[in-house]
Amino acid sequence: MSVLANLQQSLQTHVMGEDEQILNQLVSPVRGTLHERLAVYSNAYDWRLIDALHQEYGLLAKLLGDEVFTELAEAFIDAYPSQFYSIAMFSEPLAQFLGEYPPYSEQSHLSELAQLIKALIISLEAADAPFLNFETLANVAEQNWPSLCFKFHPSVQYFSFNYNSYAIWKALVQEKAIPNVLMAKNHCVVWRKGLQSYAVALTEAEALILNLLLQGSCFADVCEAVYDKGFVGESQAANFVANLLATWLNNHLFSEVKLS
Amino acid sequence: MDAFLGFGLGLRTQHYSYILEHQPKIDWFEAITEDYLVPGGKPLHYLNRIRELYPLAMHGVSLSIGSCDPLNMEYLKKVKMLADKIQPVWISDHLCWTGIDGLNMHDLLPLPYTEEAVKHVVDRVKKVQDFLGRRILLENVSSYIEYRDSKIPEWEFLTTIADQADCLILLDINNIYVSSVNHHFDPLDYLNAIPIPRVRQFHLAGHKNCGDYIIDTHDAPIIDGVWSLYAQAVKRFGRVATMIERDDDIPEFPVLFAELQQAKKIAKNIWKENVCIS
Repeated sequence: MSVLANLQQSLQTHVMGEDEQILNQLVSPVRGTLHERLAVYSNAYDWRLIDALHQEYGLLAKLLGDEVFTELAEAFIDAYPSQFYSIAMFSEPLAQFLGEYPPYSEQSHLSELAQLIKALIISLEAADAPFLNFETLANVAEQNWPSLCFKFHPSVQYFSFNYNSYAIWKALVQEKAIPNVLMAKNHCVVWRKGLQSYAVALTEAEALILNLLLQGSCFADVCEAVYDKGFVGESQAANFVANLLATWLNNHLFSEVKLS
Repeated sequence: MDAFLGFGLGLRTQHYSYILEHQPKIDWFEAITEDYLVPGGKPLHYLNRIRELYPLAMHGVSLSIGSCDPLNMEYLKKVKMLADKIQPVWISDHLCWTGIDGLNMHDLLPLPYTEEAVKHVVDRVKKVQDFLGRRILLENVSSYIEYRDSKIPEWEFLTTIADQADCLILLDINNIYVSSVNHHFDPLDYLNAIPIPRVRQFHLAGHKNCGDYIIDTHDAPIIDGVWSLYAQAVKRFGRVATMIERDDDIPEFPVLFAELQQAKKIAKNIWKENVCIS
């Protein structure tokens, strides 16, 4: 290892922990102590990363309290030191961390909440794409409707949760009483419309439709699946799906339509 | 030499709406490069709209030019793509390292002022400039420690690298002030050692005085000592693009605008005295 690499290794190890080898490679300051000077770097490391997490996951801090959130942040920083050029990306593995590391992994809704919070941020920065308008859809010949497929806007993300995480998130956002944590299969979709990101809960039927469309299924197949699963009668399936598509289209979830 | 760009401010998300609504008389903005290395959406929407109204400089914090890790080409490709899109007046980053072994401390860590470090950085600056197809500006950072290995003063380190790599310099006046207190040197020795034609930009910022040392916090107004040093810099370097960095406790836009007028006033008074070298 070169002298320079060795020096960088020593300082980095100190900044991330308590290793003191770097002290031998530094000149004592004219005023104050070396420990004080080094603490500027190690404090900044902790503070900067905790602050970045707090800015993104303020709702988690609100749920857990600042003290517990800071402990969580410190544990995350130790487990997942940043490997990213952007400090905003550093928090990406937080949901994974919360799902893996006790005591957080024993509260599975935390990982789900983190996924939802991060998804809203990611949707704001997702690639741009045109959004599908009614005119384009109105111009599709009636006989072509069964084979219509929809391309979603790049900001669209679907989540299936095992806990009432969406309800907890919503209560946090709306500053209402936080519901008790419950095991409850639930679904939501996150996307961007204009410069605002949204998260909306989905019913079982809506989740089925969204998933099938995301997988590339065409209108006729989706209608059949909705009927097969018993969500609506056969005669109402097309209207049911079409109405939902209209809502999503209006909310800019689609960017393109094509024939399968 | 490039035309004088004037007086600018750091582009911060808190000020997007104000800037677009009021279109303040600012000569240019400096955008933090990493904030815009995203696929699309809100950050790029605002960046593009502001770019339609003002010249922009790209200022990075993660080039890690001094790190012993390989250059991050994935990062550099994104920087180049952004530059191709927004056509910045220039691209700058810091003379420092930010991490090793694939990690990022998200801090501007100092280098030892050694021949080995000079050679290492020069080689990497040349590669970066070749890749980006343009000269970059390297900024002096504030530091709180000094390495035993250092053989030359910081200003000689910066100058040697700029000369050998043929890159430009972003001179941070506050950082010179901060380091001069922390390491007990005369800031004028620093200023006077920097070759005039290499300097394209000045940074000004506030800091936190902790008694025995100063921390470069960018969270407060610029102090008198830094204004005085800025005046000295204007005397030596002449018409150099100047901007104020504020990264924490960010006030309303008009507060920073007023602070920028102070920089303009100082510079204009010195230009009037006609004591500029260039």
